[in-house]
Amino acid sequence: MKTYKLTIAFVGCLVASSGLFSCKEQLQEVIPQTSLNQSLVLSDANAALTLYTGVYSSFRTYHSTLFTLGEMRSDIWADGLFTESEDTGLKQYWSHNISATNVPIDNWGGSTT
Amino acid sequence: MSLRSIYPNKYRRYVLHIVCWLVAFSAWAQPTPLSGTVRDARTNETLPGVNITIKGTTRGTVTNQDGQFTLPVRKGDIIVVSLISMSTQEVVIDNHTALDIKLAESAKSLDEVVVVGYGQQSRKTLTGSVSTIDQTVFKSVPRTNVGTALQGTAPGLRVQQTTGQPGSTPTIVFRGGTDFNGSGSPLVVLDGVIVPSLFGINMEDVESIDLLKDAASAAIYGARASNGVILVTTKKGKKGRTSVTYSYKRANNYIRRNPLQYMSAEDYIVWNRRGLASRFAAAQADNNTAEMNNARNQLTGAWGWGVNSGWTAPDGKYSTQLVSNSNRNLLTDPQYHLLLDKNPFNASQTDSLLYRSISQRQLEDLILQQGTLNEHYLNVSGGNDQGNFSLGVGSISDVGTLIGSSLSRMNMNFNGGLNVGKNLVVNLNISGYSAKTTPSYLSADGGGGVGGGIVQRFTGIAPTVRLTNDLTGAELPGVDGSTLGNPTYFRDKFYNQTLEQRYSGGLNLEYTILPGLKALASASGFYRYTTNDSFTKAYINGTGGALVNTRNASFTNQRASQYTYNAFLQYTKDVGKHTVSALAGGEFFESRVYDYGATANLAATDFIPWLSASTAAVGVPTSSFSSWQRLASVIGRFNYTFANTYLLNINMRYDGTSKLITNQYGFFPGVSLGWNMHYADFFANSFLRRYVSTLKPRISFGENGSINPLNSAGQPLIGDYATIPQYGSVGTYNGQPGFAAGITNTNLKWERANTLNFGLDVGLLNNRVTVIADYFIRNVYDKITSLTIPAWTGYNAYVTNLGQLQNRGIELEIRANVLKPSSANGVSWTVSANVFHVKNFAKKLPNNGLDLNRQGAVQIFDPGQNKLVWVGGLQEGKRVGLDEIYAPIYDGIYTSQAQLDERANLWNSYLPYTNKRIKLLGDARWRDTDKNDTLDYRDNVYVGRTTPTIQGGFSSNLSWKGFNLYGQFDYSLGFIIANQSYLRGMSQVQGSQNGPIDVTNTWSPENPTGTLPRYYWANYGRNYFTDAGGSTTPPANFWQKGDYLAMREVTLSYDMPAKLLERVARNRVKSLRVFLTGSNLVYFTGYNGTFPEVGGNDVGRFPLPRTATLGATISL
Repeated sequence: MKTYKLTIAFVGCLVASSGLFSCKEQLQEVIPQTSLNQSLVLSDANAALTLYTGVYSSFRTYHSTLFTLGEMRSDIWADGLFTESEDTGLKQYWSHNISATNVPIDNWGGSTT
Repeated sequence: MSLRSIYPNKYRRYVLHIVCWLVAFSAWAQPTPLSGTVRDARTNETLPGVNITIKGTTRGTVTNQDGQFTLPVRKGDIIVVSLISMSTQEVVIDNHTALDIKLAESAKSLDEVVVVGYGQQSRKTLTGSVSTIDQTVFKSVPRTNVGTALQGTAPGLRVQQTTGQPGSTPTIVFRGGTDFNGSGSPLVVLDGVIVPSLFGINMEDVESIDLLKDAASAAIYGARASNGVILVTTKKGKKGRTSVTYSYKRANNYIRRNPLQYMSAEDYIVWNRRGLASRFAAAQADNNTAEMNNARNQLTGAWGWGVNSGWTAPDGKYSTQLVSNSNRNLLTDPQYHLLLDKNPFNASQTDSLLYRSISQRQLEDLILQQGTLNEHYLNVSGGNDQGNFSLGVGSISDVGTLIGSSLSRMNMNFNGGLNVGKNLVVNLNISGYSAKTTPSYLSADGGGGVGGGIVQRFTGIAPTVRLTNDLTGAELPGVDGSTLGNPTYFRDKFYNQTLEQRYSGGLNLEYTILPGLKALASASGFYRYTTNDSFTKAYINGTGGALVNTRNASFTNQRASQYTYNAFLQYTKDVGKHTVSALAGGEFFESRVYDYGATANLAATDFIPWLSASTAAVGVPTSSFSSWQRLASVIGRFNYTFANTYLLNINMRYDGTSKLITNQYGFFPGVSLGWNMHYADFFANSFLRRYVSTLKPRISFGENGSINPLNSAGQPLIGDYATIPQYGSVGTYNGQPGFAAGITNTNLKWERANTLNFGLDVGLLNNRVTVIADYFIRNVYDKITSLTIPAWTGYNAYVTNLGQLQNRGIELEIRANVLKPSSANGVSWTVSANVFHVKNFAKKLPNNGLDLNRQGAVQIFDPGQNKLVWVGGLQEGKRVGLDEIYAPIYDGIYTSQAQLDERANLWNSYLPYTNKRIKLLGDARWRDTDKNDTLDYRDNVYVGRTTPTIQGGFSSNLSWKGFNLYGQFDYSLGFIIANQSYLRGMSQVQGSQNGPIDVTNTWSPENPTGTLPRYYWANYGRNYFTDAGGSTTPPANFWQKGDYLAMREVTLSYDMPAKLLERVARNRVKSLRVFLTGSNLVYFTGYNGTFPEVGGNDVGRFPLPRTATLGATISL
C-alpha cells in the first residue's frame, strides 16, 4: 500500500515536472510583438533603414542638450534677439539665471552622470 | 450521509484495515451509533445543515431539518461540529450514545476558517499572518467597489478613496509598499482567479475577504505576492434547505459641502484691487516701470474683478463694470449691486462699480447634485448530498454628486458543486459583469493634478461671472470650454462613456484517489473588454469665445484575456496526534492585452456621436498586441500539526516568467511556526488558564517576488519584454519611421521581498477578548531600479537590480465581546479595534559617488549642528524621505517700519523682483534659519510627512432582541496636507480665481489689523507659494495636519425574530432584515478641506458623497 502511494506521489511529481519543462518552451514563445528583434532588424532593407533613421532620431536629444548647455549660454544670444515672445525656458540659459534654487536643466541634462 | 453510504461495505473494511495497519497504536473498537441534536447556543433553536465529521476521516453527516443527526462512532473518536458563521466544536466520544451540542455564533474569534490561497485553514492552526475582514461591513453599505470595505478593517492596508466617482477603485498600499515612493498594492485573487483590480466585483456576491500578509503565507503566490494577497471568495451553496434571498438598497448621495468659505463678490473685487495695489507697490519699490504699468493696466484686464471694456456688454464673460452714462440704468437693476471702492492707483479717486454676484453655494449647486443609488440583488442557493449551488444576480446604478458622473453595473455569479459518483467533486464558477461608467464632463478632475481638482477650480470661479444674458436671461457658456464652463450650457456637449465587460469562469475538479489523497485540477480564465467612446459636440469656447466645431470623436478598445491551469495532489493524514497535509502541483498562467483606438474629427453634425460620422483622421489609428505574459509555476504546501499544539507550515513556489531571460526562474519559499501554548500541559494546568484561553505565538519567514514594480508616475517600470534585446520605435525622423536598439539588461532578476513576521494570538476569558498582534520586517532587495546613465551613451536610463528597501511595522487587532447575551433577547455588544504603523527605510542604494548614495535629497541648515545637512529623498540607512516636506517658515508679518528696517538686508531668493531685498508691510517675516541674510532652500524647515504614520479603525456592534446598531470608523494620523483650494485662492496664482474668506484677514494698508501675509494679485509677493505657478511650495505655516477620524458606517438594523416570522409568515420566510445605513458620514478633523484622506496634496477633487441608505433583505 505504501509503495502504491509513493508511486502515485512519484508519478505526480513527474507529471508536474514534465509540465514545467514544457512550460519552459511556452515561456520562450513570448516575444515582442510591437518591435523588431535582432534577427529581423538587418534581415531586409526596409527594416535596416528604420534602424538607420532611428540612430539619427536618437542623436537628437543629446545634441539638443549640448546646444542648450553650450551655445545657448554663450554671448551670441541676448535680450531682443527674439522677434516674437521669448522662450522663457531658454532665456534662463542666456541670461545665466542658473543657481542652486533655479535649475533649468536637471542633472546637467544627464551629460555628467 | 452515513459511512455506509459513502463506501461500500467491502471497501470500507479495506480502508479501515489499511488505517489500522498504518496506525498500529490506534485503538480498535466496534462503531456504535451516536445520535444528537445541534442547537444555536443563543436562541436554543435547532440548526439544520450542520456538518458533523469524525476528525481525521472523511466520514461524517449533516443534521436534518430538525437539527438531528446519527453517526456511527467509536470510543475515542473526535467529532467536529461545524457550520459557517458558527464556532466549530470538537467533542471527544467517551461512552456517549446521545449528544446535545450547542454552537455559539463566532464573533470573528480565533475559530474562524481562513482562506489561505489554494485552500483554507482554521485560524486555530494558522501560523502565518492573515487578516479576515469583518463580514459586518459587507452587509449594509451599498458599495460600488469592494475595495471600500477594506478601509479601516484590514490592519496593514492603507486604503484611500481619492474621488467620489462611483465605482472607482481606492488606492491600496500594503505594509508601506515595496517601492521607494510608497506604492505597492496587493495581488487580487477572486475565487482563485487573479484579477487586475477589485473593480466590478459585486459586494453582495462576496462571502469573505482575507488578506495574506506575511511572506510565508503569501509565498503560495510566489513571484507576484510581495505586496500581499487579497483573497475574495464568493458565496457557495450550503447543504440544507434551498433559499432565495432578495435584497434591495436605495440610497441618497448627499453633497459634501466644502468647509472652506469663499469671499463674497464684493470682497472679491475689493481685495483683488488691493492685491493689485500691492503688486504695484512692490514693482514701484523695485523700480520696475514695466511691471508698474502692467499692474496698472490689469485694472481693466480680462479678469473677473477687472473693469474690462468687454464686461459692459449684456453677454460679457464677467459683469464687473464702472458706472457710466450708458449703464446707469443697471443701478436700478435688481441683478446688479453697486460698490464704491478706492482706486488702487489714485488714492483720491473713488470708483463706482457695478457687478452681478453669484455665491459659492450657487456655484456648487451648478456642478454638484444629490444623486441616488439603487441596488437589487437576488441569490438562489441550496445544496444536498449530490451538490450545491449559488446563483447571484445583481444590478446597481449610482449617480454621483458631480454632475454627469455615474455608474451602472450588472453582475452575475454562479458557483455550483456536484458530487459525481463517490470520489469526484466538480465545482464550476461562472461570473460576469457589465459596467458602464460616465465621468463628469468637467475634465479638470482628470488625474487630480495640481491645476485640476474640480471643486477647487469651479467654486473658485469669479463670483462676478455672468452665466446668463443681462437682458434676455439666455444661458451663456461661462468662463471657458470644459473646466470652468457653465454646466447648464455644457452638460450635454461632451459624450464620454466607458463600458467594461468581464466574463470569467473556472472549473475545479477534486478527485479522491484514496482516503486522504486527492487530485485537484482547475482551469480558469477571463475575458475583459473595455471600450471608451467619446464625442464632443460643437460648442462655444466660453462666453465670447470661438465656436469649436471640430467635433472630436475617438474610441479606445482594450481586450484582455487571461487563463490559468493548475493541477495538484493533496494528501492529508492523521497518525495519532500527528496531522500532516501536503499539497503539490503546477500552474500555468497566460495573459494577453490587445489595444485598439482611433481619433477623428470634422463630423458635419452633432447628431451622430460616433467616429463614423467624422471626415478626417487625427493621428494614426492604433491596433496593437500590447501585453503578453506567461508564468509557469510549481507550487507546494506542507502542514504539520502535533496534537493541535505545535504547528508547522511550509509554502513554496517556483515561478518562471516570460518577462525575464537569464534569470527566468525564481524560488519563493515560506516557513511558519506556531505554538498553541494553551493546549500544552504545563499551561493548561497553570492558573493562567483561567484567564488566558488561547495563547499562540507565531513566527514566519518567507520570500516573495515582484516583477512589476511601478515608477514614481505609477506606471510599470519594466515592460513585458524588458530583458529581450529589441529595436523599438523612437519616433519619426525626417518623415521616416525610426527604430533603435534599446539598452537591455538581459540579466535582470526578480525583485524579491522577504518578511520576518512575529505574531501572537491571544484569547482572554474564554476568548471573549481576542488579540492578534504582528510585528514584521520586510526587506525588498534586488529592487528593479531605473538607473540614470550619461546622455552621451545615447540612452537615459538602464534598468537593473539595485537597492534595498525595508519596511518595519506593527499591526494589532483586538476584538471583545463586552456584553454576552444571557438569553436570546439579551444585550450583546462587540467592539473591535485595529491599529498599524509602518516605517520605510532605504537600506541600500545604487552607488553614485555621493554621501550615503543619496538620491533626491535636499540640503537645509541645521541650527543644532550649525551646518548644512542633507535631508529627505533617499539616503542609505535612513528612513525614506520622499514624502517629507521641507519648506520655509515665517514668524508673523512685518507690521512696522522698524521691523522692516531691522531685516532690510534679508535677500529673498524666491521673489520675482530685481531687488530681492524688497519687503513691504504685511509681507511674511521669513525665518532666516542660517542667519546669512539670504532666504533660500537652506532655510527650509522640516514640516512633516505626507504619508500617515499610524492608521487603523474600530467598530462597535450592539444587539438587543432583533435590533442591531453597528458603527465603523477609520483613522489616519501623523501626516500633512496642502489644501490647494485654500492656497491657490490665497496666492491668487490664477488671476481671476476667488479665494477663501481668509483673504479678508490679510494685512493691507486698508486692513492694518490683518494677521495673515499680504495678498498679492497673481502671487507676486510669493507669500503663499514660493514659486510662480504654485504647486507644492507653500510655506510651512500653511501645511496642515491631516489627522482624521472618519465615521465610515453607522447602521441600524432589525432582524425579525424567528418566532415572529413563524407566526406571521408561517415558516415561509426564513429571515427578514431591514436597515438604515449612513456611510462616509463625517470626517472629524482639524483640516479645512473636504477630503483629508487624499493626503499630501489635496487639489480639491470631486469629494465622496455622504450616503444614506435604506434597505431590506428577505430570505425565503
